[in-house]
Amino acid sequence: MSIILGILFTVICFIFVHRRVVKSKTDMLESELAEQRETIELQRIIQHQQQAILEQEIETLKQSEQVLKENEQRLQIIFETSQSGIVQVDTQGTVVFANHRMAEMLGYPLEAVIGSRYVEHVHEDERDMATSSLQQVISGEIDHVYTERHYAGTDGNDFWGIFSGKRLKGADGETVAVIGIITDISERKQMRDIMVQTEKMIMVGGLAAGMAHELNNPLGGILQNTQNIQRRISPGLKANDTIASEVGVDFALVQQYLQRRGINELLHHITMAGTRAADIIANLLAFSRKGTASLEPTPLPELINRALELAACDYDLKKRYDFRNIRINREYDMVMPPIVMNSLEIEQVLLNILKNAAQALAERPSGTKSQITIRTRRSGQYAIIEVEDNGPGMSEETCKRIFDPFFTTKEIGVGTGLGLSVAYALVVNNHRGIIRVDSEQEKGTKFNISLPFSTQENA
Amino acid sequence: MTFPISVLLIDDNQLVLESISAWLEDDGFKVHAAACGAEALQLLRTVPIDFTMVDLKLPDMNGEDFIIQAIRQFPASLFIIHTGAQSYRLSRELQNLGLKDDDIVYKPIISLPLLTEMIRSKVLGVPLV
Repeated sequence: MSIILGILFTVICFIFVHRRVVKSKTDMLESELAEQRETIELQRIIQHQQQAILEQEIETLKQSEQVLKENEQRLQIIFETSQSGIVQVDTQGTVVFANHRMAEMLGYPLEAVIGSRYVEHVHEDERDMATSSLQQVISGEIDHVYTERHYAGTDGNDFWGIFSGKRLKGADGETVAVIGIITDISERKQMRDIMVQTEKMIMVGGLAAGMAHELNNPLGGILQNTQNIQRRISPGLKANDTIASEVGVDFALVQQYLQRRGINELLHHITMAGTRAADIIANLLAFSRKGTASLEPTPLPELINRALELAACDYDLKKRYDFRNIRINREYDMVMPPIVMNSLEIEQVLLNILKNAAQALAERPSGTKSQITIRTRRSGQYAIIEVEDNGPGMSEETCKRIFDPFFTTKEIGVGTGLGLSVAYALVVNNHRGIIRVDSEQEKGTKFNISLPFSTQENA
Repeated sequence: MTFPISVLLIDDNQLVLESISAWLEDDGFKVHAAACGAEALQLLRTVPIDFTMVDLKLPDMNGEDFIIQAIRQFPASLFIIHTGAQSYRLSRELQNLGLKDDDIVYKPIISLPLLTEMIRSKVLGVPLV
């Protein structure tokens, strides 16, 4: 029994101990497992965090790539759609990059612009200036250029631009290239010139109106009395003979005396001088002529033919520059509708231009035949009249001042310097038109008159 | 001998009056001169006038107004304008009264023989050659 009990006790003890052992082992294993789990969890968290960071970095990269792309696209759009020409010129002065607008402005295909020398496109008058300012930017002497520049273009299609250029720097701050933006300001410049010209006209007009009226009376006294004197010392007037015999002089001898002393000649000179003064005043008055009184639809060919006839029988022209020796080419647009205008004024404009052309043609060396070509054509809301001669042409300096009152290239006493400025005043002020001149030395001169078809505002 | 054509010149400028009078007198016209509108109207009332040349700027009235007044009172007389304003054009009223563009003579008169011819042709009703 005791053995059984002993065995039982032992078994119980064993079971108990075993249990304890098992339990403690289990516990140990469990805690080990927990520890491992924790580690795994930690690793998972770390991994997760790392992934998040990585994802964020990728996102940031993606975003900056997008920003870069947008930037590039923005620049591309600006480059392509800009109404200004954009060029990149390398340190050797060669165009390495340009937009289509630049090529369009210069009048060459883009492929021809790239690889060309920048300064070649600058008008020769300013080429030296452009070369040195480009050098200054490349060398870093100046950082930025902003200037008005005259560009050459193809076939004499020169234009005025504003060049704004800046240095493009490399990693070490060295100049890599110059980027320039060129804006065509020809039209703006032309408007400015027109305004300056108009101002001048208004000033002269104001002065003229005041004095011209006052001068015509004394001039009348001079010219009319000269005519009286001339007749009273010439044969033919009965009263002359009557008075001569009354005072007891031989009228024939009086005339002989006057002849030998050159009195008739002197009187003729007074008439000439007075007539000239009257012409100048008549021209001056044209400046202040406001309110074109009789506006009527006028067919251009008729008007031009009339001006040509007037030019052909103009006494001055006949005397000095025979109009009949000039070949006249008429190239009229015969379907153009009539233009509402003061036909007397526009006739005057054409006559003044024709006279000028005839005078210019008289100066050219003999050789090819002198000719004047008159063209008319329609351009939008404007009728264009072109008067082109193959005379000696004018320098740019002369062209600039051609419409200035009192500017003349003719010798003193020949021209008044008013003909073309009157033409200008009549076209621009009275008809809201445009008058331009293009000239090339040794080639000829071309006047271009644009008249609006509708002159409703023309008051 | 035929009766001379009687001309009235109106201008406040003495030089203008004298120089044109001298010429027309030499040509056989009977010339009267007035320095203002009132004086001219007085003359028109008292002497027979065939032809009147009026300056636009008179001291007492405008030359156009003068013609409008005078033409009503003396419809048989002829009136023309003498002016230094090359841009001057006839007013509608004067046109309605029968004045034409060639009834304007501009100052200064470069050719007095033409004036003589013009007066003769207008008064005698003979067209200018």
